[in-house]
Amino acid sequence: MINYILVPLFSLILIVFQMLVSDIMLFGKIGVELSLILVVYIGFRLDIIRGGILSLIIGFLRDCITFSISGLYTLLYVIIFLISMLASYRIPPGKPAFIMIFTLMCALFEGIIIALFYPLLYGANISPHTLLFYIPQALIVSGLSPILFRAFNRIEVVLNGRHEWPVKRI
Amino acid sequence: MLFPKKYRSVMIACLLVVISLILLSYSIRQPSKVGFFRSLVLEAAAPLANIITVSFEGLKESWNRYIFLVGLEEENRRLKKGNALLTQETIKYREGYLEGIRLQKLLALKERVNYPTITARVIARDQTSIIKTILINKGTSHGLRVDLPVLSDQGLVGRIVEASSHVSKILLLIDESSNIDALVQETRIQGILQGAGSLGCSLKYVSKTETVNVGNIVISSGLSGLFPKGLLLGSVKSVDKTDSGLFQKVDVAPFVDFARLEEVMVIVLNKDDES
Repeated sequence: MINYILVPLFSLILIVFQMLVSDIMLFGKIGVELSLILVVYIGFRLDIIRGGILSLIIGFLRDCITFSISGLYTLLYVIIFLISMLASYRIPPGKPAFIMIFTLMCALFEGIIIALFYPLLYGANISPHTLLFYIPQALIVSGLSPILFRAFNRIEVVLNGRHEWPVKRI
Repeated sequence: MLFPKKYRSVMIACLLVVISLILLSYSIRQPSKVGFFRSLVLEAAAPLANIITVSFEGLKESWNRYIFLVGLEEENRRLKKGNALLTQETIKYREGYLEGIRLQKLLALKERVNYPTITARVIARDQTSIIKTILINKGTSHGLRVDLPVLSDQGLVGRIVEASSHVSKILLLIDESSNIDALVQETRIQGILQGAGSLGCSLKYVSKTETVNVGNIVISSGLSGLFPKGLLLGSVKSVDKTDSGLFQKVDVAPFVDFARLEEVMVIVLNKDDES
């Protein structure tokens, strides 16, 4: 139960951190979506109830902090969690190359969905220039994913011990 | 169980998506409403953002300062180098200026002296020993020889006691072995100006009946033939008639500051002039 408090709190810190990293270190040019990697990680490690609730909460937090309309990131993160969970049944996680490719696909998917939903939400098309930013963003997130997977795993071990929370199947 | 176990995962997945869609549609319909949870999250995020921003700014500032300092150190080094070069230049020009002033004075003296002269530079001085001498950078090859008088713009310096091809040694008038025929300019009283080392000089053989006052100018008399008449030697520093002897004790302060001599002028007297 404690994880339902700690993980969202950690996610909140992570989202604020990624927002400020993008703002201060990268001058707001490129976003580094670490929360997406967390959702993918959750998809690989947790069962549908725990993972689903957490990805819903993380998405909602992301919406609250960075997006003006609630629900888009909530929906996206839930979908990405579900895709990750399905992928984890088929492909064994732990290989950096796989993690990178999968995260890259998720990031691009996210970009496409946002580009599709944007006119519905704001009544205007997203500019192609803005869309181009998703490619380097996706590449950065993809490059960081194996490192963050290891980091999240360490945190998970500290919080739960190796065998308690990574309940998952495989 | 609410759902059959077989479809449980699918049902939960659908439920999650539906919740997200409801949230999204609600948010689209009422975009202006902030909502309790939303404001709660924002309230929670604000102090976190503040802490992280402060930390980031601190790091950024430190980093920038470090980078700035690296640049500054380089600039500082460059400026110090430039400053040292400019200081050297300034010293060089100042030296040139001061040398110019000194040479101007010597030139003026040269015009006053009715004899051919040779200007020389002081290359060494030995005033710490008993014998007070200096070395100049001109010698016999320049026409100098022993016993020629040496002047500065302030007055008589001494005479050449040794002359090699390119260097000459000058015995300063404050050397105790230096004796020059002199006279007090105001009263025309004659005497022998003898060196007294660091005390300066003393005018010897001046009778107690003669009047010599402090501040009187002492010049060369020209009697010995070594020094032309009228060269400035010094001024009377003190007069003492209390001694039991025939002569009064007259202390003379030389005009020349021997410690600061840099250029001198040698009067090239002919043998006929000397005689």
